[in-house]
Amino acid sequence: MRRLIPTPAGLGMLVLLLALTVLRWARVWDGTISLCLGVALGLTGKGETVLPGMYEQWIAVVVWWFFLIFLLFVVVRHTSRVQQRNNVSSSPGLIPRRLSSLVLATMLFVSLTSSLLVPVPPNVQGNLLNSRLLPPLARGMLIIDIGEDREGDGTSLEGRFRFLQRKLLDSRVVLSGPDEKGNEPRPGVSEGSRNDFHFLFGSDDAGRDVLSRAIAGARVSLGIGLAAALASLLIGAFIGLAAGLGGRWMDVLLMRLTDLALAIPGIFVAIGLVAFFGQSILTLVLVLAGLGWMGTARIVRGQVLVLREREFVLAAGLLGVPAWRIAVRHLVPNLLPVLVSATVLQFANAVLAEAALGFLGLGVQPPTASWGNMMGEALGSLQRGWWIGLFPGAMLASVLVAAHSMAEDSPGP
Amino acid sequence: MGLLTLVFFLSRLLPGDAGTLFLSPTVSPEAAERLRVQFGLDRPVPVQYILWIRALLEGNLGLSFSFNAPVREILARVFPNTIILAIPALFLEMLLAVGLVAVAKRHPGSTIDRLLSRGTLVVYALPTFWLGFILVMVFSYWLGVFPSAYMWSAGSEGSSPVDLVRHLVLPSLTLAIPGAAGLARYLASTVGDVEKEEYVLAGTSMGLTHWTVFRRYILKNSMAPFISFMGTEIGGLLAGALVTETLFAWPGMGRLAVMAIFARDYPLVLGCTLLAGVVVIVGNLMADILQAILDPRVRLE
Repeated sequence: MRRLIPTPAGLGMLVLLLALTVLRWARVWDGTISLCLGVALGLTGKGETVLPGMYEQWIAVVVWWFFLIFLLFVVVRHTSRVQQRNNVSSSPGLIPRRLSSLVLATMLFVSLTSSLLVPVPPNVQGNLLNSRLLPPLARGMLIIDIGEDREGDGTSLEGRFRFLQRKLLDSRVVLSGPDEKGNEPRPGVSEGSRNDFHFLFGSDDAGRDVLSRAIAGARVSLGIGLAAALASLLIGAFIGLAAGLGGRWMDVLLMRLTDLALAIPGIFVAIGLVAFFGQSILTLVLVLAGLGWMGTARIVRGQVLVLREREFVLAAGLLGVPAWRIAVRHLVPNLLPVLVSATVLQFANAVLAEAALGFLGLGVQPPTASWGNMMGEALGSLQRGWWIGLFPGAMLASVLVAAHSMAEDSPGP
Repeated sequence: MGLLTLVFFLSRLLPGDAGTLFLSPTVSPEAAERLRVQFGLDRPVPVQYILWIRALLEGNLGLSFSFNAPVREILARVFPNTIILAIPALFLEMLLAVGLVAVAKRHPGSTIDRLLSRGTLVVYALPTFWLGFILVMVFSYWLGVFPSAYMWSAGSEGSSPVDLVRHLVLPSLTLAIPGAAGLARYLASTVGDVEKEEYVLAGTSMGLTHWTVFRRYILKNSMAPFISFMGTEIGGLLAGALVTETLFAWPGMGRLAVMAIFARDYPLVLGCTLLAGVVVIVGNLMADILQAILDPRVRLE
């Protein structure tokens, strides 16, 4: 635990990771998708098409890998430490710690590999005559628009088609070719259809597969939640450390600022900001982070005020170690358990807030699926199709419950 | 004051001004200009800010662009509906929380106690709209007991209180349940501390029943943190009202705020945010005052 981020190198890695995650989020996702496509094609031997975006793919691999390792490491070490301290006997309640971390890890995994897991791409519509509002397990027809060849080199189109072919069990997908009159299909646009697709979780009002959308929504919702939680962790930890170490005036100033931020009715301001600045994913992340750092800041400040009277910090101060180095080497490692639980809680809050915004129609814009906007769309056809909102809501609820019970099991401030 | 400034400047910084946004392209530039002058949008921003604050102090919140009516009137018409929804929800929340804790702490550490403490965590974490979703599905579509939306049945607006209560059940439950779970958790932890006190032991050894001890000794002494929590909970209720009112098409402030945002009706958005802020602050203040009345120790400080 102590060895995890005490070194500047470790901290640098964390910052790099964060910068990559937040600034290049879209690129990381593009890379992830294209990576997954590549893996899928390679595994099935259907084609050796090299998809564009090798660079993004590598960013994606590095970021996700580091991130998962980091997360797992923190969580595992942390829980074992808490178990040791409490002699394990801390109320093994309704949701055991292992189960909640398993749920979280699974959902994160689903969100990472969503493009591999979806039965069909999430925005593919069924036949509007007979595939709308199908109950779970029903069969219907899907029409797949493979899209335009934006790059103009034919490779991405080819790749996407092969991917779809595999997803829809190849031979039954028909790529529309020249029609009877001999007209070529529109250049760069292709369509395929499949007659007997199983809608496991049913289909929505536009004939789209709810399961695929729920899986794709996991990526959007959890991605935004994670990025927002990490960003508010950074802001909160920085402000808390500055307030705790910076002397009396700094403390008063920063804590007044925090109180002010806490007094603002967050969700009202959030919907205002998001509605006015546009609903891009980056905006959402920034807004959610900007409204969520206060809890972390307060907890960190409280801990720092206690820690800075401890002998090892005093000794370091007497030896002339500069304040930032004390913060990084001596305080942050000791703050880690608190930070983890605050961040997990913040993650839950951000995911919930994103979902609420999406539900109100102010979050991620359709047709991109997120759990929130799926619930909002489901509201319109609630009477005719209960399954549309039930499944994404259940996934959302499971993540929230898992995160809350994990934060609960960790030591509080 | 900080809230005012923040809200004002955020709304002015934003792209496009209301004059251009709510006029259609067919309106001549001169007419648009006249309108901007009429709304005072041609003045420099600091002047607008000072004018706005002055108007605010006189209780004038400006004119809503989309309703073409004073914001104050719209809020005055709509806010009571939110109160009608929020007050029963608040009481329901307290009732549920105290009831749950009373049942759970009958035998501290028993299976029921542990189950409830974990169960409340689960319920607390559930998203409001999903809960509402399930309630509507079960109670209005499958069982057909309660209506799923609106405040009154069509054609009988304001006629019978029974109708209103029937419409009130699902939204107030949706609003109350997650809050009640949070409250119960909080109360349970306070009660857990209080019941270790010696006066509780004394009460029990005097032969008082469990319920009497709980009511007279434990609950009363757990009240102070409970009330301050309620103060913060009012903000939570407002945020919940945003979603709940949209879900149940309840004509309250939350739904108004969402509509105002979609219509880019800045004065109305400002009004809603301000009112929400004021309610939160008043809630906290009331909690502080109540606490001072109930707990002499707070008064002395």
